[in-house]
Amino acid sequence: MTEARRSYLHIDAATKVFAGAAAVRDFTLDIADGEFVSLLGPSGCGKTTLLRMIAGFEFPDSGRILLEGRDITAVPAHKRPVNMVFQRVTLFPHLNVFENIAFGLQLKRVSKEEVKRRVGDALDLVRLPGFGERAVGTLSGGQAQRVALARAIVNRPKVLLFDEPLSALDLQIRRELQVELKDIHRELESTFVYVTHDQEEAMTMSDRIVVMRGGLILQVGDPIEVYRSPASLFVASFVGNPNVWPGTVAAVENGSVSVAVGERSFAAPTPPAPVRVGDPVALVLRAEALTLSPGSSASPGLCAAHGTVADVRFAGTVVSYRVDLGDRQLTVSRPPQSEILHEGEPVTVTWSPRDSILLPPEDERTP
Amino acid sequence: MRRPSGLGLYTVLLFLFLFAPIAVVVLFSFNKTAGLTFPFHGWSLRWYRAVFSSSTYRDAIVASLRVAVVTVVVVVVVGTLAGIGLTRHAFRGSGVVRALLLFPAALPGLFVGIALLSFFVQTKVTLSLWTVTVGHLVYVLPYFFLVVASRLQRFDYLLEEAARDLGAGPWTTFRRVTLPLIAPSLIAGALVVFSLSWDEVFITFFTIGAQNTLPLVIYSTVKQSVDPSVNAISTLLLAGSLVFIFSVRRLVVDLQQ
Repeated sequence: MTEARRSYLHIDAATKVFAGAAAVRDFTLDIADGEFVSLLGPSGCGKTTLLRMIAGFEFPDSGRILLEGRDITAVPAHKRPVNMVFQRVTLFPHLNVFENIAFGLQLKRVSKEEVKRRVGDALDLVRLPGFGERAVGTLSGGQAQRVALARAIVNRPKVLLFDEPLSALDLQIRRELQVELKDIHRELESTFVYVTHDQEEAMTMSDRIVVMRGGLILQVGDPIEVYRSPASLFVASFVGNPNVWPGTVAAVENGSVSVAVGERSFAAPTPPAPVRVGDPVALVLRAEALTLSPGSSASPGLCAAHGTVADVRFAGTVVSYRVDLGDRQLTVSRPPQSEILHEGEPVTVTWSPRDSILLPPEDERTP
Repeated sequence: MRRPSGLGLYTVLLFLFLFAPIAVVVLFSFNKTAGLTFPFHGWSLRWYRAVFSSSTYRDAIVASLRVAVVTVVVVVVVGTLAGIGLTRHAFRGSGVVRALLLFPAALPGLFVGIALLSFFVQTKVTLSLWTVTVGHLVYVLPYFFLVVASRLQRFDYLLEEAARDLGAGPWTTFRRVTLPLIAPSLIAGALVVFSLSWDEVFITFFTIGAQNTLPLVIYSTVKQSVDPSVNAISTLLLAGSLVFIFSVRRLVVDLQQ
């Protein structure tokens, strides 16, 4: 790690309590310069509160926030070199697009020519060149959020904050803007902190994902890590929509674990925390990691389960099958190009043991 | 769909009843002679000249303007602050404060007038245009507060957060974001307040000193003699009110956008 990339934004044991309930609990996180970090979690997990503490709209009850080594914990929002894109449209209705974007620069007494140039650059960056004179009421939802983004980046903030800025938009525009946002991040090389409850959004854009729940961090890692090695069953189920089978450890022998699920027994990878025979576990099988084939076949080295097709859903990008195994069901997805299997057809589901995930069952103590 | 017969006639009669007296006053303000009844003898502006050359009317207009302008200025400042305070912060007893603020509007003007008079007498305050102004303040503040509070209730406070995020301190945020956005309702409220104060009679009657306001002068003129210049001054009052009503209407249209 180079000097510049070391702990740029540092949140140190921040805690915020609202009306007796902790929104954020003892939260510590280091964010590097130029990093795109997503705070991912269900509503009420504290992600927005954390973002608002970075913005200066809320102040932690305890703990500190440091930016480039400077303690900004008590600095109010208008004196922090960070800018935010809000969930709802917050463009000033009495100002046009240009005046909205220029708002921050004019407060900083930037010269007229420079304001003009920088607003023009910002509009180019968000792909809205020539929109300066437009009234904000004439913009579409997607355009309004682009202007809001331009209004934030034009100030060259040290950290850009996003509070679910795309959640109110149509799916197609949301996808489009996700790609653009990633491009803009690459172009600006600045630090983005992005709050979302949409795991796909977090996956596609972020360098690192912070999965939160009940004001606590459950896992921090890059998207591949969070997907492949979820730290808990909650993370595994929040990211993607996997099959979860409760079972018990049947055998542990050099690097491989055998799990009993009902009458069946499957090989599984060794979990991160050591397990002993008899321990309750959850076997996580992602729908996209499973292979579906007609008839009944078996291959050595693969886990297999036989059943019949209970339901077929063609979703365009995938075909989703529900397979009835008798005592339990499995969801399996296949590419749309594959042969379509029909309801009632006997099938075999196979998977490689290393594509399954073994996790402790949901702990009552975790919030 | 067929309308019931007679409904048209009824409507015409109703509007005739409502507007004929007004039309007569306006018409006779342009009458050549001093007659207040038909026949109409021809057009002239003599009663308007009479109004403008009369020092009683001129003084009364100036007095009414002074009271109305001071009332508007004070009410806009106090009412806006009250509106912001009561819509933004739910403090202990804010509901009570709000109810007390609105209460004078529900009181009969006669009652407010008598109450103020006895208050001024007991506190040995000399009655003047200032005591009239105080009376008007009590009476119009609820109306202004209602206009402004209803706008502030619809105000998106996230806009203020956005301004703060962009580097605007509390005062700059108010000046550059909040004030421009609520300005149409402040102007609408000010116009309402002005017109309420401009033709207020009850409270004025009880709290007036040596100097009379326009409505009181008109009243005493009509009581004393048949003076057609009253028609002219009433028409002027009407013209003023119409301008206010249409200005407010336009602002209300602006507000709804």
